[in-house]
Amino acid sequence: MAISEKDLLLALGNEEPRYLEILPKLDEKAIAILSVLSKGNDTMMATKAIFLAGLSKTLSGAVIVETASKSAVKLKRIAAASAMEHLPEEKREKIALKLIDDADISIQKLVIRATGNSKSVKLKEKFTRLSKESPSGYIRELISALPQPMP
Amino acid sequence: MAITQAMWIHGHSIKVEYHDRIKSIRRAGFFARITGKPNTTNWFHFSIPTTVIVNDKRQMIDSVMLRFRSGSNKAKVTNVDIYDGDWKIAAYDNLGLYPATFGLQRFNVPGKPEISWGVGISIGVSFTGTTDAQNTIEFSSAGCDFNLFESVRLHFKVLTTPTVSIDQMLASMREVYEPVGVRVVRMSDENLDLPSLNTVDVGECKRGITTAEQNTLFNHRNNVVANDVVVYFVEATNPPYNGCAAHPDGKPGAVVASCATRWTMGHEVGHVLGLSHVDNNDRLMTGNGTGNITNPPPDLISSEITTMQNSNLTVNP
Ligand SMILES: [Zn+2]
Repeated sequence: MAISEKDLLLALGNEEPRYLEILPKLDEKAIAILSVLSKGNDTMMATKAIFLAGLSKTLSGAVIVETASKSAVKLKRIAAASAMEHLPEEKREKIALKLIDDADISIQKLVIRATGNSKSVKLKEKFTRLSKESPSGYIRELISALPQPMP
Repeated sequence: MAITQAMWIHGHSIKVEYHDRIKSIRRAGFFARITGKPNTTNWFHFSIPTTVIVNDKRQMIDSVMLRFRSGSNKAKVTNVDIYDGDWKIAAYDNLGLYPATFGLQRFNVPGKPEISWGVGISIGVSFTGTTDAQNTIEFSSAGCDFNLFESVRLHFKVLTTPTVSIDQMLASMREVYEPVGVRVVRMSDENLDLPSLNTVDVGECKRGITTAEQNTLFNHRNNVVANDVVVYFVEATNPPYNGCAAHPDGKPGAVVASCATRWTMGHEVGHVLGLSHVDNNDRLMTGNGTGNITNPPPDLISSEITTMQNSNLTVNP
């Protein structure tokens, strides 16, 4: 049975939401609630909603993540980067291309992990540039450690 | 939780800081009656005789108490500052107390520190009346309760300063823990420059299961000894949680995210001490989020208190 708005708010309010238990109860109505939360001022709830939206593997969920990836609020962009690995490849790469330019190391780390195996030429170019130019030794190493594609 | 020591001193013993600002001080048998000059402020001091060690145990201060009454609302207690020797251990400022009759006013000392040097109470009073009757205040007694609390000892390692300040999270945690006899000691603070762990992977955040990133983060244990608990303040967790209390064996601690609530730290340390979620928004361990707590401060119930006391992370005095 689909989750009610009240129960969804309590389940996400949880200090440590059990995302995998909420997931099967999501319907389009619930995802619409996630969309509202993702744009709200309660940053903690917004980040949880963004992650769960990505986990839902729905088109509307992917839209929520993509919108969050453009947010002015860094924590929402971090949540979008956390959610990326669950998105369809095409959507994931589109969001990655935007988020990889973010100067934040957490966001770059999550993007590299989620799309390190991507065949996207544009994304590979960005990784190559970062592997040489990133001021963060951690990010340079993370990219160098990615498996190299077969020639 | 019985009081281990209670010390009182009669109002006669009061010391006046600025004699030129008072019109008179008279010690009747019942009290010290002070009449301030109009439009003055003053400080009055009580030194509480303090037995700092009883039966080989250093005493912890619970609260101080004052018995006084004012001639009018123009003779107001504005400050009550509490000292252990040269160390200010509590400060109540911006008060406006003018009881018409003698009653017992209690001032809690958060953190319940061990006392080393003797308790002093400094009382700020403002006199704004035009007549002597209005500007009169009478102190009959001052006292202090001591106790012995179990302690949970916290070290704060800060990767990102949280939105709700650490001081506020600690004060909130003490609001919940201290009434049930567990004091929360702030052992140390350290900033950690670890940008790669600032959004830390915590996986599904299940007790006993940790990620490689948690293992790396929890290796940072400067100043920490066995049975101390470390709280790591990070920007975010991956996936997003308020916090996560899963920790490697033998390295008790939790992470708290930067937009956690003021109750999150107490909740996560509750998990570290062995507590589990409940479906009740009046309680600290609610599984519906401490952001939804309905009747603050949230409660701990007796079975939870027993679990906390049985944890080897709460240390007996
Ligand atoms: Zn919890």
